[in-house]
Amino acid sequence: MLARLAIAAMALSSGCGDRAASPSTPTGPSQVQPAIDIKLVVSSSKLAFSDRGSFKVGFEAVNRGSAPIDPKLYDAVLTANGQRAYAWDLAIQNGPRDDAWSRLAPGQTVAMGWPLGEALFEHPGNYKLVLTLGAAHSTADVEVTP
Amino acid sequence: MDVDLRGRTTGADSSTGSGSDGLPGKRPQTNRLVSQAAPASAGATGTAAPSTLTGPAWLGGLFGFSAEHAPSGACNCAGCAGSLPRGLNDKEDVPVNEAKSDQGGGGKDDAGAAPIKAPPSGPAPADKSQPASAPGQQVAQQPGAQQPGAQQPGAQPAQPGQQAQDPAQQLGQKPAEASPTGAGATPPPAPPTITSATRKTAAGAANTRTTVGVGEVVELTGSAAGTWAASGGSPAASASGTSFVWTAPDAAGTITITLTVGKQTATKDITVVAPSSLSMVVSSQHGLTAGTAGVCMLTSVTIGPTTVCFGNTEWLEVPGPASGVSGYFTKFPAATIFHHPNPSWLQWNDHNTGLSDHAAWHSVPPPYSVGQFQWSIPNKYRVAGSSGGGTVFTTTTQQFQMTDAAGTMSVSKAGASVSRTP
Repeated sequence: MLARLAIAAMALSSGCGDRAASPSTPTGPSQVQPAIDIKLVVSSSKLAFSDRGSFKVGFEAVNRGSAPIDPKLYDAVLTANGQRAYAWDLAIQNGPRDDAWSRLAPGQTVAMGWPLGEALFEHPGNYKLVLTLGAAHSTADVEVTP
Repeated sequence: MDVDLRGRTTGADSSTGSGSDGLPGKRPQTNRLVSQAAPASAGATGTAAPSTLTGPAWLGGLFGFSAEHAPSGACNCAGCAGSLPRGLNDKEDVPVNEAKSDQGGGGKDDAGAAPIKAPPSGPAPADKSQPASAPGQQVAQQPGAQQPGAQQPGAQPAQPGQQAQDPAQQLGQKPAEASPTGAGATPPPAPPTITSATRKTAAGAANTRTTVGVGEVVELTGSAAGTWAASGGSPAASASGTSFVWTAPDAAGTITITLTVGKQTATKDITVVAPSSLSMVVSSQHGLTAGTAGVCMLTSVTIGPTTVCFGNTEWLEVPGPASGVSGYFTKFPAATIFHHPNPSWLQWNDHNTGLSDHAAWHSVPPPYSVGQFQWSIPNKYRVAGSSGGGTVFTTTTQQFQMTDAAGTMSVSKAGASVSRTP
């Protein structure tokens, strides 16, 4: 059983967006499965620029269906103010995995997060983070003060 | 052993044994263990047939007792002599002609025999062929006994002609009881023994193996009920019983399991090994967008050595920066290509597998050019359920390369690698 993302002062995003029903193809990018709810999770909605190292961002995915499913989490894309966050790509596409990562049981949740503040916030300002998995979207607004 | 079970040194010079304890009325000590019915020989052992010597002749022949009781004065009949100080006249539970001598003494009154040797300061292991220091081997010994050859503080070697002390008395143990006839004697209890079985199997090794992985569970069984103790792992001890379920500690080492039954003990050494390797084999790849550079491999991971079970062990990769960054990849800030692995500990199955690793960068932006970078990844293990920070056991290298301007990429890690052209 994966441990749930442990983030202090967690600020959840507004929740899931539309669900895509199109099946994945073997040669192209996977599409999110219809039974998966995914949420963007950030550790803080406001932080000082000097505290970027402690800022964590992650996701929480739940299988709302009645059968096990591969959530294809490696296809989840994060943008910050519209720019693709390659640090997120490398984080979600690398590292040890157990069975739940690719076979999520009904009602089961998988969550993970990483300290990506230094990669996401190059300057102080307001950032809109958007997590997209297939047709599902989840967003979070983060203010980085000087 | 150089002494027989009554404390007499075999092969001693009989000329010095004239009633060596100085008791009046005793015949000179002969040091002879010869049975008229079955003469002792150099090959006599504790399993020899009981003596057929019986009655006063046997007593007189062996101990110098008088055959008849003298109502007055000093009497040296068998009954009165029984009140003498312990030593020669003490009780025994071993027939007299079952004594074994390494020197072939067997009661011979050899002229010029070897001087009396000092009695051992501690009992020898029950089976000298199984030294206690050998991992996994089992040795029975008396509580508090010293290693053979060790000398107790203050102990002095016996001089020639000196009466050797009963080794049992030296140990503070009750000397063996004697049967007047030597027949029907109760043999000493057999030393306890320990057998063990791991709960989990390991490739190419039986469950009786005494080399186990950290956190492995071993079921130990004693030949008799007794108390158990372990020099490491858990539990450290248990109440009396014939079985002991023990879990190996989280660090490598040799652990001694001890079973104490009465005054006897048995030990079993178990070698605990920690993980030492990771190996990966490509199991699948995700489909990537045509025309876009990227590379991906999913690997099946095995933790070694596989001769033990690490099913009760967890794995964690340690984050770290990229190194050896060159060419194409220098366009990315260090924070972007920092290695952020799974922050959760994952548990292996009982076959040291069951976990996968994802090594990929599915989509990288053009324009493409040659370049590379790598992550040196410390890998930690810990016993499942523990809250410790774990121990680094190996470092793997994951390397990304772009080998041409077309965006051909490769990734390699722990023996596995793939390459892809967009």
